[in-house]
Amino acid sequence: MVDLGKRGELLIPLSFLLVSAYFFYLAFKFRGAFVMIRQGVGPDFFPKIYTVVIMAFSLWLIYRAVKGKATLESEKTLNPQNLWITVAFMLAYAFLLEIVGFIVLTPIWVATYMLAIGMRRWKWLIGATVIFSAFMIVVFPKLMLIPLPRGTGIFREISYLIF
Amino acid sequence: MLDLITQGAQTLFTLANISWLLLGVFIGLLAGATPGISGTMMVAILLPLTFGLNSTTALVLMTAIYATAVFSGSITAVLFRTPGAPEAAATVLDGYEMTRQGKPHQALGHAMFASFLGGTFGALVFLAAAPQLARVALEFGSPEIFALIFFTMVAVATMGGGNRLKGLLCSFFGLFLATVGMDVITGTYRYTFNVPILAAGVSFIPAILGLFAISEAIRMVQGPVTETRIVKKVKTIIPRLGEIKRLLPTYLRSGPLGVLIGALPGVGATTASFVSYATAARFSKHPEKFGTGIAEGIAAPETANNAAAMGAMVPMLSLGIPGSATTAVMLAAIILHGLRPGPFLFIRSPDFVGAIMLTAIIANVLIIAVSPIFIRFFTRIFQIPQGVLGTVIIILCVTGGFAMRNNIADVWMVFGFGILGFVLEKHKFPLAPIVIGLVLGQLFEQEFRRSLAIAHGDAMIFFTNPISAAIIGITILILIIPLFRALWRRLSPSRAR
Repeated sequence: MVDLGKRGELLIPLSFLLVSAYFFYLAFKFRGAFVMIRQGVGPDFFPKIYTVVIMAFSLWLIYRAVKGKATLESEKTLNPQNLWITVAFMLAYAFLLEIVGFIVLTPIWVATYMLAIGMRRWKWLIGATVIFSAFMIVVFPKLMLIPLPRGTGIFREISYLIF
Repeated sequence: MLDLITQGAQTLFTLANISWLLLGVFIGLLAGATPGISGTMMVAILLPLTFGLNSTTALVLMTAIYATAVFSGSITAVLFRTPGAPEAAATVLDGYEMTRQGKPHQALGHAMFASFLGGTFGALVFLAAAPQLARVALEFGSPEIFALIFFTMVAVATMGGGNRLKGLLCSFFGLFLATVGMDVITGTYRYTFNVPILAAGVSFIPAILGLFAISEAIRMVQGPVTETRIVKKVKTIIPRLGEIKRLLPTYLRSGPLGVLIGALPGVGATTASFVSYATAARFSKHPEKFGTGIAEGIAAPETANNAAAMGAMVPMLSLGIPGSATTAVMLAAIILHGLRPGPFLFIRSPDFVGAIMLTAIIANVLIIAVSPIFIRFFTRIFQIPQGVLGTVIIILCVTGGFAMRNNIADVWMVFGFGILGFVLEKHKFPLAPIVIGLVLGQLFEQEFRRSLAIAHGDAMIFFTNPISAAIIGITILILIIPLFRALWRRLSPSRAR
């Protein structure tokens, strides 16, 4: 299992450094970036300032990590596999939401996710899936009239039966 | 003023109006405590439904929802690190830490009492000095607002213990995120990568939900998933007299600050809570304790956000300028009901204005009377195993994030910020400065550039203006005093020992 641990002390500021360097470069490409805005500063002024400062702080943190001055501050994880399961499930949810729709996806997702993370108290598993999904459907689309994603094809038709 | 009270009381104290007021309090508590449903959204949804009511009853309902929703956002912020409303984002910082230390009762008590004090104070100021306060608020132009936000950013970035360098990095990262989207001054697209939703910028609702709530849900499911997390019954403990006395300076500072910020057009209660939090930390003898679960860290934002909510009603009624998003919807309701907000409203419809003012006071008093019962019932829903709670939080955040703009991209943002928050927090990068930077960043930049445009590019506008000069002066002192202290310690090592 990957433990970000001490490596994270180096990897995180390094990521900030690389990303901000790229965004600093992009700031030069803003439309009108080189046009001096009359009586003020242009749209690239603040992004450039912020990215330069982020780069400076990142370099400082990298220097400390390399010199061994950084304190190892990461926490121990009890159940590390659940991190990756959760990330995978979240990505799958976001990806499938527009296709399957809220009404069908949510109860399936809730049940399978809880099983995947090791929830074996069946009363809670079934109860939470049914009650919580029903609660969300009643509160958001029914009471609050918030249009949740309906999905496509048959899933869309199913959703029309409910809200 | 007496005339307003008597005429307002005569209008308000009917069975129908009081029933609507109580209904508003209940709806406000429920809406504020549910992530994704803010007071603004609830008031907007109810707007068409109020057409059938008379103008006073409609505004009584809306004011009651508005006043209570600002408070109830803190319930989920304190218990589950999931701010029910953006105004409660600052309350997460110390409120949730207190809950983690096994003191959710005290945390909720502080939030409730501070909200009551702030809201009631705001409502009383609203009652006593609405036209005068509106005139003071109008004195705050771009340089003054810029200076106020500059002060907040510096105070937040330099406060607290732990790793200041990481805190500063996170502050600038938050500010940087706020630059994404269409530049409102020139219309230039910045970092949008042809993604339409990014043109509107990084919405801070998905960011807050992701950074605070999703990251916590991930952390939660990494523990024993079948165990119940929180104590059996969550009661609300109102702070003791000694504690109230100790917190009195915080209340006294945050209340007026909140009212003033709330009265500034377009600034709002979220900004007020962060400014107040930063100010409380700056005035504290132990700024390093902020963020570790201290009462001041709850009292300051909660007093200010409720006071600001009431303050936002001042320019709405007396000038016809909304001080916040919710008051903008309420302003629309007033106009739709055939009334014209402005100074003449106080002369032509004193019964209407008086009834609104009294509703604001009563709704805030009801926070302390009704919310303990509400909290007891509400938290019962969440007394469930960690695995289930984590799942519930994830779905609530997804729905809440989506509901703001009805866009799937916000769901990706919620998850993206959630993973980012988890990784950063694991390595002790503070999340609060990111949120503060993101919330205030756009205003910070706009007001700076607008000020320069007003002054034809002359940066001296920030120093020739007395209010902004004073605030910037204090901010510079905050920046240089620690440097002088460090220098002093270095020059006289015997003193440091």
